[in-house]
Amino acid sequence: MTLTPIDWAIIAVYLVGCTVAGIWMRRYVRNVDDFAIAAREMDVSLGVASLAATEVGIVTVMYTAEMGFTNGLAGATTGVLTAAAMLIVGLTGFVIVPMRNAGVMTIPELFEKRFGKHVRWLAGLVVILGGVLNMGVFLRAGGDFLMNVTGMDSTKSFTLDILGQQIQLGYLELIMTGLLGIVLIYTVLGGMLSVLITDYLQFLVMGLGIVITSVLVLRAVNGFEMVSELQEAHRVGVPIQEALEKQTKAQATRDAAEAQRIRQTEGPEAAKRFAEARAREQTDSLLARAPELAKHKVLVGTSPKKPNADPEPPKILAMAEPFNPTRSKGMGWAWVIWQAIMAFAVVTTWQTTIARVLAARDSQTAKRVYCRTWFYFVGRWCLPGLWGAAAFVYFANHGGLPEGLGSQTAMPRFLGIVLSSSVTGFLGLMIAAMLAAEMSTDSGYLLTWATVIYNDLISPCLRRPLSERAKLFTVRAVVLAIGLFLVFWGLWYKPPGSIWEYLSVTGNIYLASLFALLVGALYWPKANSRGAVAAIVLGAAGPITFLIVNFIVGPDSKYRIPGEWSGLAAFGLAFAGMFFGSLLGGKPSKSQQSQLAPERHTP
Amino acid sequence: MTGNPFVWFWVAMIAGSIAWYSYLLFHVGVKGGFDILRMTRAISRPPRSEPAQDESP
Repeated sequence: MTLTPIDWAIIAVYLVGCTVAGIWMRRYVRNVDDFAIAAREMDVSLGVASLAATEVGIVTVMYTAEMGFTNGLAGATTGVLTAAAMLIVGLTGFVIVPMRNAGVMTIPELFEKRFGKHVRWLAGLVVILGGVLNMGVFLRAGGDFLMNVTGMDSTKSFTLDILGQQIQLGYLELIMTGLLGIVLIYTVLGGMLSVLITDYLQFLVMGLGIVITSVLVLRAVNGFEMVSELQEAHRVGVPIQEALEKQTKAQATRDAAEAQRIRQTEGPEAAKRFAEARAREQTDSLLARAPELAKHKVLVGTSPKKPNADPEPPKILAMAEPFNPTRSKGMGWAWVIWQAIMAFAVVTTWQTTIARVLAARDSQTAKRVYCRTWFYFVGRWCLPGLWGAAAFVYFANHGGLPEGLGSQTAMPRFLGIVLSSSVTGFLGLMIAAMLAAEMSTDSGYLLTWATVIYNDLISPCLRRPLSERAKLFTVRAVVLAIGLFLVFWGLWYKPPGSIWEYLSVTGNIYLASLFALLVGALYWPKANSRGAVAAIVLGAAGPITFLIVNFIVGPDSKYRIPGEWSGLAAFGLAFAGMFFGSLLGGKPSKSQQSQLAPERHTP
Repeated sequence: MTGNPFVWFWVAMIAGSIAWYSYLLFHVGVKGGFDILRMTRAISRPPRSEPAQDESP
């Protein structure tokens, strides 16, 4: 899986071209409107390219592929639901038309018109909390992908001697910091104008890479044969996985009892030694059986060995029901309903998506962007999901997962194998495509959150409005500050849990509150500021409470709250807060109602 | 191959995605280029929405 000079040349041309184009747009930036919303001059095709490029990052590819690896094509259900929501919103103009007509720069700004300054500020805070934390895993997921697709060790590092201090630097962290550095340069200088141009280039590179890779993946798993392979993997693998897990649990209970006896007779140190030895034995025995288990479509996933850290126990992986989401493990009807509601919330409130609505020339352009992008969201989930499912089939047929690979990292390694054995240059194109995906997402997100911080958190606190030059300087400084935060939070600090778990919790904090607020503000004349505050607080408190409860009861507890119930409850609580809070809060003033009145009649 | 309607659904989604991505790549590739030219021309025009005094601190 070594990169050839042609691969390197493709990557270099892409990186240089993108950086130059991004910096070139700096000449057109004269005020915050140019910087944040491209002077509202974006047209349909450019909007489609920008939206599509921003919404597909390496992190997207990683978590959708992970869903494909564990749940087959049923894992792409969210993509179909999001596409359907996008089409419905595009056809009806639900939320996006009144929002574009309001002439605001961010969603919280809209809330000020209806609910007052304090709601704008509070909503801005929730947007930033959910949005920036959500972005926290992007860099590490991106780095993991690039390391695995090229076959590099993601834990590899070197030591630098700076002024007598030994500093250890990882290759993954350095590569991703460098990549973010390039993104920061053009985003800070050119804002939305640079983002649109680079998104356009990235859309082309990414689209080409995704299409070619998908065709090669289908060829590698013999196309339609994969369907029967997945069905077979589910039928054969799941009973074995269940039996193994039962066995492991029973053994763990016996070991815990033995450790307790040793603690009482020989002391805690002896008990600890016994527990560690037993865990090692169990791991070794499972790893020794891995090739045999792979013949029965069960894979053993392991984490890369890290220096000075205990190895994580291996995971027994089997293919869940691969086609029907209502019967697939970890899914079901409640999950599908939750994802459907979340899909509507995402396409109407996620600020990075809405930024394209607000940058559109008019509301009709915004609707057309949605109508032309909707099916893109099916592919956004289906194609990486296909890669993930194909990775499962491939490794099950080739003696199991190599050491250090799990459900998250199997897909990039599989792509590396498939692409490096095809035409020279395809691996380079794929890496350039994924760099494009990462850079377009990072730039779009950086700009969006910086605009919200400036527009909704800093600006309302100022006594006098800043000059255009000072405004521009402030927004650019905020972009830079978020970039620095990401380097430390997302790269040098590793949050616990899976990518999807992290994204859904941080995303839910934002989505439930803001969706209830937007629908109330635009379509319910009785909505008032008390209801708005209640929706924000309850919508955010819900997921946080469930997170705490699940943390306390532990991963295997029967009292653990499933994600779908916590997600549905968050939306229920936010809407209940809006409804009951508004009823208790009295009537909104006529002027507040009339602020958005014309748009309320334009569904 | 199979009588499971979910299988056919996903096969159609994958085939449709590859076809759609290929179409969009060329369609948006050409039209997006013209959009960029129009946008840069529009934002280069001297009279803009913001008054000139805003430029000075």
